[in-house]
Amino acid sequence: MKALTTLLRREFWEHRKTFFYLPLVIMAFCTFFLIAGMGSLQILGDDLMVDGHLEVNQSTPELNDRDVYEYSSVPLEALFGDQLAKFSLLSVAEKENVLNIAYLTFITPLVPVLWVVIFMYFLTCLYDDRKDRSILFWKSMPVSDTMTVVSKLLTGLVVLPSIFFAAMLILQLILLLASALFALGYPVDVWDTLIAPANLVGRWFSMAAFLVFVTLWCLPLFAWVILVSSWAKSVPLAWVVGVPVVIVIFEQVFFRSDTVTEFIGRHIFPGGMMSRLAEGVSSVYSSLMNAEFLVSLVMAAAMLAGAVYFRSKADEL
Amino acid sequence: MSTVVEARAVSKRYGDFVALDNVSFTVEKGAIVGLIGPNGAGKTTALKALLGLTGFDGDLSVMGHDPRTGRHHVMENVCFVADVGVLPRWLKVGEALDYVEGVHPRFNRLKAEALLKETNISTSQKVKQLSKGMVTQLHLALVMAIEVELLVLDEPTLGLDILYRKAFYDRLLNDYFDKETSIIISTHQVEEIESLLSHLLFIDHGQIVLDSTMDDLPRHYTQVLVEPEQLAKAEAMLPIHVRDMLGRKSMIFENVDQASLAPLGEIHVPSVADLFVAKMQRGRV
Repeated sequence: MKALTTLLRREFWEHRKTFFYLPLVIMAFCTFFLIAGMGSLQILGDDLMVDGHLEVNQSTPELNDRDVYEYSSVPLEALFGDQLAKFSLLSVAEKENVLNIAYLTFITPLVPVLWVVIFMYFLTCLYDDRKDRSILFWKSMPVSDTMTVVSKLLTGLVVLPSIFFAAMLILQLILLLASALFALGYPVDVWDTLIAPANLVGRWFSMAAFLVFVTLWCLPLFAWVILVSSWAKSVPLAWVVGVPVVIVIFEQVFFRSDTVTEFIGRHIFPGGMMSRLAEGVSSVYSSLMNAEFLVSLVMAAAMLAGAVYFRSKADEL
Repeated sequence: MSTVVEARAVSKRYGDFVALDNVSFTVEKGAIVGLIGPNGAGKTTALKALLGLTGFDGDLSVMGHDPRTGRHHVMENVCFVADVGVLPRWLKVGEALDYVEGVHPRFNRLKAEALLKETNISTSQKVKQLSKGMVTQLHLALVMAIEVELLVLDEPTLGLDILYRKAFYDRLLNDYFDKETSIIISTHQVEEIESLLSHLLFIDHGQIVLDSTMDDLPRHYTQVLVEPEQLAKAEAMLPIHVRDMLGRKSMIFENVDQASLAPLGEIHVPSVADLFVAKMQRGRV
C-alpha cells in the first residue's frame, strides 16, 4: 500500500503543472468571469441610472422586451430585486431547472480539459521515461511492471477525475456563495430562492456518478492509449490515431460495414452519455449494463495486460 | 563462498548483431568484479540482462531469481547505477528520497540524507539544476543508503571530470570494501578501478575473453622486458602482445612458465591496462 501511494505521488510530482496548476487556473478564469459578469451587471445598472432611477428607452431593447420593464423608470434595487422576487415565486422544479443550467454551465470548461489531460497523461505515461532513459532508474527499484501500469491507470482514472471533481465542487460553492451574497441586499428568502434549489449535495453525487460512468465508458480508449504508450518507439500519438483510422477505412472498404467504426466513435467521447445524463443517473447506469459495455471492458483488460507485457520488455529508446 | 550471479550460455541478439555470444560467468559473494571491454563489446547488454532490463537466451540466475520474470524481486537485493543522466530531470532531490523510501524496503533515509549533507546538493533542487557530477553523487547517495547484496555500476563515471571520478571510487571503496556486498563495475577506463578489483572479466565482441581473479593473474600472465639479444628466442615463445618500450620490447605471455621466461629479461606482472590492450588487440588482428 505504501509503495502504491508512493507511485501515485510520483505521478503527481511529475505532472504537477497539469494536475494541480491547470485546474487552479481554470477555476480562477471561471471565477473571474463570474465576478466580471456581476460587475458588468452593476455597470449596466449604473449606466442606465439617472438620479438613482433606471431609465429604460428604445436604446435598451433587451430590457424593453421583458414585460418587467414596461415602466420607464425604476430604482436600481428594483431591477435585480424584481428579477429575484419573480424568480423566488417560481415553483421549486422551475428554480431547480434554471439553477441546474447555471451550475452546469459554470463548470463546463473543466469537463473537456479533464478528458484532454487524461488522454495526454496516458499517451506519455509509459513512453516519456523510455525516451529520457529514466526507465533505467525506475526499473532499478523493486516495483513490478504490473504495479507500475496499475499506478498509471489509477492516476488517470481515479486521481485525475478526483482532482477535477474537487475543482468543480469548489467552483460551484463559489457560485453559491457569490449569488447568495449578491441576493442578501434584497428582500427575498436567500435559502429558499438560491441555496436549497441549487441542490449542491445531490448534484455532487450525480456529478461523481457521471465521472465514474464516463471514465468506465472511455476505458477501452484509454487502455488503447496506455498500450501504445508502452510499446511505441516514436510519436505515440500517430499510432493512437493511425491504427483506428486504418481499421475504420479497412472496414468501410472491405466489409462495407460500420460496426467497428461506430463502436470506436461511441467510446472516444461520451457524448451519448452526456445526453443520457440529462435523463437521469439511472438511465446512464442501465446503458452500461449491456453486452457491448462488458465486451469493451474485456478488451480494455486485454490491452492493459498487453501494456504490462511490453513494459516488462521495455528498455531505453 | 556463495554465488550471487550465475550466467550460463547467455546470448542476446539485436537483429543480425550479436551483442552477447554464449557468455558464462559467475560472481561470488563479496567479489568486486571489473567488467571491462571496449565500447560496443556487450558490457551494458550483459548488465542489463542480469538486471532484467532486457531479454536474452540462456540461463541466468541472480540470487536465485530469473531476472526476466522476477525483476522486482531481483531489485530488492540489487542496486544499479547507470551512467549519468538516468535520474529524471523533473524530479526534486527531496522527492527522490521520498520515492526510494516509499518503494524500497531496505532504504535507510537518514543515511542517504547524511551522505547528501556532504555534498552541495539541497533537497529542494531539481535534478535538471544539478551538474553531471552532482547527479551522480545524488544517485550514489540513494544507492549507498540501500542495504543490498549486489551493486551494479555501468560506466558510473562516464562524462565526469577526474575529481568526481576519484571521489566516486574513494567513496565506493570506503563504504563497500568491508562489507558482504558484491560489486560489478563496467568501464573502459581500466586504470582507475584496477586497485579496487578482486576479479576481472574482459568482454569483446560479446564474448568473455578473460575471466580471472586478480590473485590468479600473475600465474597466467607475465610481462617481460626483453633484452635485445633475446628477441628471437622470445618471439618463438609466442607472446600475446608486443610493444616498444624505451628501446626494449615489452612482451606479454599467457600461460608460459615463468622459469623459462626469466632468462629473457626483467619479469613483471602486467597491469590490467596492458593486459586489456593485449587481449583486445589479439581479437582484432
